[in-house]
Amino acid sequence: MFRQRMYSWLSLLVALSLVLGACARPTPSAPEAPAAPTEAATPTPAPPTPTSAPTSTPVPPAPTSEPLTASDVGITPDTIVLGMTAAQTGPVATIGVPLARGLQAYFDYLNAQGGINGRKIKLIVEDDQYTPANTVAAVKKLVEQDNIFALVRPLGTAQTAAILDYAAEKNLPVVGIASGSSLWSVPFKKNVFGIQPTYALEGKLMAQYALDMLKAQRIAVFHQDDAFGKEGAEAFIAALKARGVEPVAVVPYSPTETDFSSHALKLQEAKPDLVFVYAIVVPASSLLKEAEKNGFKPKWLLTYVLADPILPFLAGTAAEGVLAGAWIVDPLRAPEAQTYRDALKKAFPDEVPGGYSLSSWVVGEVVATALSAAGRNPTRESFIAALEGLKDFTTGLTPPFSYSDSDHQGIKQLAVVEQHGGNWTPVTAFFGEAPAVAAAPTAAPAPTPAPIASPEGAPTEIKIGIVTFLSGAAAAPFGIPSRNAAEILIEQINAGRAPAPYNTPGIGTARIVPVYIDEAGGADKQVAEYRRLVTDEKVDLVIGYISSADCLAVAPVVEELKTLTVFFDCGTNQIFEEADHTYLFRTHAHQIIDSVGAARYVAAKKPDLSTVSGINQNYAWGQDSWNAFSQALFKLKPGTVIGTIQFPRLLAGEFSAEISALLAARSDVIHSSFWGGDLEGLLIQGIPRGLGKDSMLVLTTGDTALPRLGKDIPPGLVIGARGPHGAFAPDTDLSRWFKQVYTDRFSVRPVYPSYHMSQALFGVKAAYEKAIADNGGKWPTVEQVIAAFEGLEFETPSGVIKMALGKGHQAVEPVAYGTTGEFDPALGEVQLVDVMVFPAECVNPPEGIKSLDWIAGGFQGAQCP
Amino acid sequence: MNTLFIILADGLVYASWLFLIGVGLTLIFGVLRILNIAHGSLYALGAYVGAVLVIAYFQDPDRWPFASFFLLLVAAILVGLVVGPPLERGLLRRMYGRDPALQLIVTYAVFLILEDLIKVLFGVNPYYAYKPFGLLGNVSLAGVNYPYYYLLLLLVAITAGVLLWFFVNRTRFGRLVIAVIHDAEVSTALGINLPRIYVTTFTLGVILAALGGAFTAPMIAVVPGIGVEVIVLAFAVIVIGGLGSPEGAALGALIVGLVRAAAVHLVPELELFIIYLVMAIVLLVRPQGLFAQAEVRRI
Repeated sequence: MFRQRMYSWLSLLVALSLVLGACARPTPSAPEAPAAPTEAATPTPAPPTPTSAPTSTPVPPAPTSEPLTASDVGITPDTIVLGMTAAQTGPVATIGVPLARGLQAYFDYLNAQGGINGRKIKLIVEDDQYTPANTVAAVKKLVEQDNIFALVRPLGTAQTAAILDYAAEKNLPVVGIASGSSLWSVPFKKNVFGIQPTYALEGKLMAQYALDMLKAQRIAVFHQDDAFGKEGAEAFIAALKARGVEPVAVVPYSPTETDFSSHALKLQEAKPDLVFVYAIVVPASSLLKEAEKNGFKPKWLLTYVLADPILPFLAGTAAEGVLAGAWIVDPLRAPEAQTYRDALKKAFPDEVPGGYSLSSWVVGEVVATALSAAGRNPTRESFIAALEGLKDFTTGLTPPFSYSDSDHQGIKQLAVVEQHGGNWTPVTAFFGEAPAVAAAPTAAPAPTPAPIASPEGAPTEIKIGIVTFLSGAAAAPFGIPSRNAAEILIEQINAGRAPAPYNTPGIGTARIVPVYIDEAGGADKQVAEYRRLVTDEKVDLVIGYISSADCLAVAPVVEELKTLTVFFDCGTNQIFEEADHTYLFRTHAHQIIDSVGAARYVAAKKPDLSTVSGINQNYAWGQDSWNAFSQALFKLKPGTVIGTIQFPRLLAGEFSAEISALLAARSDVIHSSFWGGDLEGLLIQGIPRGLGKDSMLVLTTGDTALPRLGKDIPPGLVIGARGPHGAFAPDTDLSRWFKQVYTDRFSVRPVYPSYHMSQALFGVKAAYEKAIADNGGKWPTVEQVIAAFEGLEFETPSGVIKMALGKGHQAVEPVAYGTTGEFDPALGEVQLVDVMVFPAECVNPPEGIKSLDWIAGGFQGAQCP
Repeated sequence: MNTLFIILADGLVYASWLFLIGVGLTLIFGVLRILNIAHGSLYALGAYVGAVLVIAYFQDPDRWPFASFFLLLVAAILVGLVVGPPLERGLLRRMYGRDPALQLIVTYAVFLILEDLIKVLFGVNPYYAYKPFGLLGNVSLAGVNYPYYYLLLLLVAITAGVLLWFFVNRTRFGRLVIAVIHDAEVSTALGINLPRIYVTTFTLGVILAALGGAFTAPMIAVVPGIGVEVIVLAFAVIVIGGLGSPEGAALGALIVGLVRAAAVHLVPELELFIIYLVMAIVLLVRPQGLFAQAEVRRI
């Protein structure tokens, strides 16, 4: 007896949990995390090949059950020992100390978070006083006495060069050298990884910047007469000469010199309008002060090595307004660097945040990321393989960069920053070497895209998180058609094959890289996924959300994380009516157009109607749709009587009794906002019973069922498509092209969620490209993109979209309804007759009025034909 | 009067559907003492296989259309024979007599696996096999059209119920099943081949689940997730009727069917909730369900 009873209650419990869990059932999520390195690294011409050469196969990530072992030199079950050499005393300590402190602060922070796989990082810093002979001794001590696993962020070109052979012999990884010499990457060395842009690259980029952006004509060069200074200056001069420009003066200095008055005079005599400075901080600040004293005021363009608060600290007002390169964000003010500032303050309360310590912090992040990807028990081989597996790596502090098994160079992009009152403010985004746009798989012969110059500072890639249902009931009718649209459009846009006005490749030449996320799992999960997209995947923007519940939950987080986000399909009218948004846009109209449009259509086509019934799913979408539709109809046709209002469970699938009730009610009009399997189930079960024959059956999302049910759709059904999409799409080049490429790929025509996706993607492309134009051809900031997006009008396969509501953040669209007619075998669908298109101004409330108030007030301000 | 008539008709239609999806679950529980949550996926499998067979059959439009009903039956038996024995022999037999919570978790796991397996096998796009639904035409009852397919559904449900009753109460094998239900240990001691009883009963239960799915397939778009909806309803029905009792399932289905139909026509606002209301009331009054199993006879 007891068992029986227990089972009854247990099953009740299970039943309820299934009801509650039905929406939140775990489903395999599509996107995968950036993979650990899988490709075996082939040892390419390495200098002095060590006898214990690393074999090429990286260790596969170990199962978590594997015990922690002393898997290699410097690794114990609870620690990883790393070494660093940098001047901690002497003149260069102004650089060496913050470098060491930045790295130490990062590892302190990491250890406080639990370290890496339970191991704490121990960093041993040796002072070499910026003298190569000392560096050799220091590294020998670190390797032979302290048993370090790797040498991290050693300072100095000549200093690090002195230990390369020894490091190769000992198979010691040397990572993130504080020097931009090309020595680390040319020739390739298996165990050595650079980080900062090479001086040669910087020289080249700065020459471009000086000529193209600063329009400099008389250019002089001041550089340190050693490996460091020559590399940057020579690349700079070579790039000038390639453009037919000869420098008006080249003034070298020896690292031992202390008086720079003669250098300043020599430069001044050449009357340059720009001086390019490739020096370290003390000589550079002395030069600036001399020049200030002499009233010599050219434009100063400095190497990134100097972009640190120390320069204005030493040079004072002489450094006001100078420009410099930068490969990291503003250490003092960038929001991305907040963690760094907090951690640095905690570890070294007297250390002022600056470029040197932040650059070391970045190297710490790189090392930690590779260590945690190198398996539970890392070895030097698996660590090197993990570093080579870093692709488009950035934590937001640097431009993204990649290592590979043949390229250990590191970051290849720079920004230009300007110094005022101790602050370095970016004047450009990161720009630089962009890998060629990856060739998209060719599908159809297409005109070669017009060659187009990248906007200045344009990234090579723009990463877009795309969230739609990839599993669950909403996947087949909405999620997959919208995902498919994204796939084909991104491919075509990247290849520059879309028709005008979108016939340029990528977004301002940046290749779109999509990250697809499954929307299944409920609003809480989507908020977490959104955060993950922004903070871990580092997407540039997010396009997503079909479910209104997900939109409502994500909206506040968008503003919190300040990431450009475009809602592409969700129906709720609440988002922009309840609050103002900055980073959030919606490129399609909300559900009010469907409901008001349906009411207007019904009132026009059935002027003598007196009764109305409804069948809608029992959740927000169904209830809101019925509410708005019935209210609008009561306004248009006062005195209309309700027959029956059915609200079956979402995804009930079986509607025999509801259909009986609708048939028995014999209303003039039946309204349904059913979608997906429920919509099709209603038609499959209702049509044979004559549903829609005597009553006018209005299906606000009916368009999705047309290609699916084909000739079995009877005449006389009123069909909507949530806007001028699908069967109602306008006959334009862009629209025909979209339908063609989509149908060719997926053998079924696009439906309205596909059109909604195209609106979001084209809207983003239009906004970015307008922002680039507004910004004088330079890559825009997010704020500039937002400014361009607000109130934008842009072409889409559904016609021109206007961002008219919500202070320019919410689109309005026309809406179309039609009645099914005869089956058209050529089309594979029934034709739509009696089509009425209601302009956007007719079915959308004006700015500032909430939709339901607008309906209740009798559609004030509506402009209908 | 007309409304009453329609409610009765709708109630019977819904009840026959509920009985088909619930009876297999209660049979398996009666004999194996396992609440099989995977029942919903077996229903979905039946729907998918039925839909695939029907679609394939109608590839040639000249074929005799009425054979499609037979294909639905074939689909159910196919699913039962392919999935039933391996699932019972491979997994469930290890669960007999274990903690009910463990059994629930294991069958829930099977449910999740099958749901994903269905996506792997059939994809996520819907299948439409609605041809058989409209094939028989309509009958007008009180001015409302009812497809004869609903009558077929009623006949299938009654036939399944009668055959099951006959099988259990009038055949030798059925008597062995009853013996096992009453006391599995003593039955074994008397020489009854317990594993054979279990595997046969489970397979029969799977066939019934798949039968429910197969005959539902022509009424719906067959999409991933249809099994989730069904398992909840099936539980409600058999809990009301008394777990383990096919007669109870029939009565439970009838009560739920009629009450729900009444709600749809009279107070549609209550429809979502009404089944659970009935269930809660029954559990309060008769916690063992309306048809209490012979559990009391145990010492």
